[in-house]
Amino acid sequence: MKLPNELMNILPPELLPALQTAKIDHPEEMRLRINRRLTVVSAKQTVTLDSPEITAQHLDHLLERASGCSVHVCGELLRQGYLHTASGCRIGFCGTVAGDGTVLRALTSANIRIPHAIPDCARGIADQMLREGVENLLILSPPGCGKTTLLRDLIRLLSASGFRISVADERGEVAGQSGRKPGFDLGPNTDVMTGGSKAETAMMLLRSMNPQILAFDEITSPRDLAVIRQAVGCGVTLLATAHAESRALMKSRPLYRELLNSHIFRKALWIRLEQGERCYEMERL
Amino acid sequence: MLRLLGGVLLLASAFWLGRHASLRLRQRPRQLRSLIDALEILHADISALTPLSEAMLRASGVKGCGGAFLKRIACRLEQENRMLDEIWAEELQSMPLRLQERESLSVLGAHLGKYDTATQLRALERCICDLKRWEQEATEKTRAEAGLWLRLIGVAGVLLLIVLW
Repeated sequence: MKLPNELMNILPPELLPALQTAKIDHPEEMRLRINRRLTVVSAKQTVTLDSPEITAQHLDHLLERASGCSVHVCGELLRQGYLHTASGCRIGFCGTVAGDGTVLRALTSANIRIPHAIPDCARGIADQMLREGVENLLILSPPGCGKTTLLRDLIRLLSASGFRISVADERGEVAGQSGRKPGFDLGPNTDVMTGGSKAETAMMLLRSMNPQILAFDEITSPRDLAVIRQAVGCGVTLLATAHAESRALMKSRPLYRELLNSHIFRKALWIRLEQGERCYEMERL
Repeated sequence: MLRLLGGVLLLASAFWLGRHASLRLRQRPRQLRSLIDALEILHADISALTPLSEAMLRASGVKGCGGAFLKRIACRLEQENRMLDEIWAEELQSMPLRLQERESLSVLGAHLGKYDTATQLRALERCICDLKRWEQEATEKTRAEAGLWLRLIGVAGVLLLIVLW
């Protein structure tokens, strides 16, 4: 099973043999739960590997290595319950929240979300956008359906077509930046700001990088909506993603209802998983 | 002639032994000072929320065993998929330290990288305070004894020479 090298350097060594012998294409998640064996999830299957049972020591090892032995640096992220690694993996932790919420003790489980690039998965959508005009696009799906993967490829294709694109990569998952090296190819005309709050970094990008397209992952707060309004006022085209199961459910949430009513996004792209395969449906909003 | 040569060699050996004992005494405060300087830089960098490996590499610029110790740990953290306290404990074994110094540094190693900033800084401050106290004791001892060893062994050599002559 193919995994980012960096992940092999942070997982407990006792678990690596089971991972190396597993035959799973495009693993999307790895679940570590105390006293249970390692589980790997892909779009098509969930497999429990023949690994040693996960212990507290394994989870502590993962937290320490994933934070670069620098839990003190990761306070804000840990407050939200996760870390992200240099290659764009997001590692969520469960345990006991201590102190001011920046410390997790007595870890009981972890979930490693593994990003990967699927080259040209957004080719059809990019071609359609280039034909019909690049408009504000909202990519929607339930969690785990590949919004970020699609956004990543769409950015790459539009950047290759000559658009100046800026990415507010709050969690580092879109670009998978490792120091100064991007983990994923986002195209020749793309600038990435990693970390910080989406709202603040988006404003920094608007002021300094003169983008034609501004991209960010997951609209989750009213601040994100305020930035979107400001960006649109600057004449920038937007690409964004959001969690949504259906249009009806979207309208039931105040934030998304406001988003829809603002008519900022003219097009929505729904991603659905049908029998392990991803299907895309474009809709006029 | 041979007697003269023997005498000279005897005296030279005595003074060399005395000098060696004196240097060893002087080395200890220097080693402790090197550790203190390195840990103080680490303290400053952790307060500034610098990642630990980077902070250790910066502190490794300190001359002496302190800088070398942190550099080895930073390199091993990069290369080995192991927890910091394991690597720290192994590297401590190769350091020229007394038991109490090793224990104090061992406690520090159990805190670094795992806890929030304030907790790590407190652990560093405790260790630095301990090391400073031992450095002061070692400096006083050196002052009192280094010259004494040199003279003592030198005199012993002269006496031996007289007796044998």
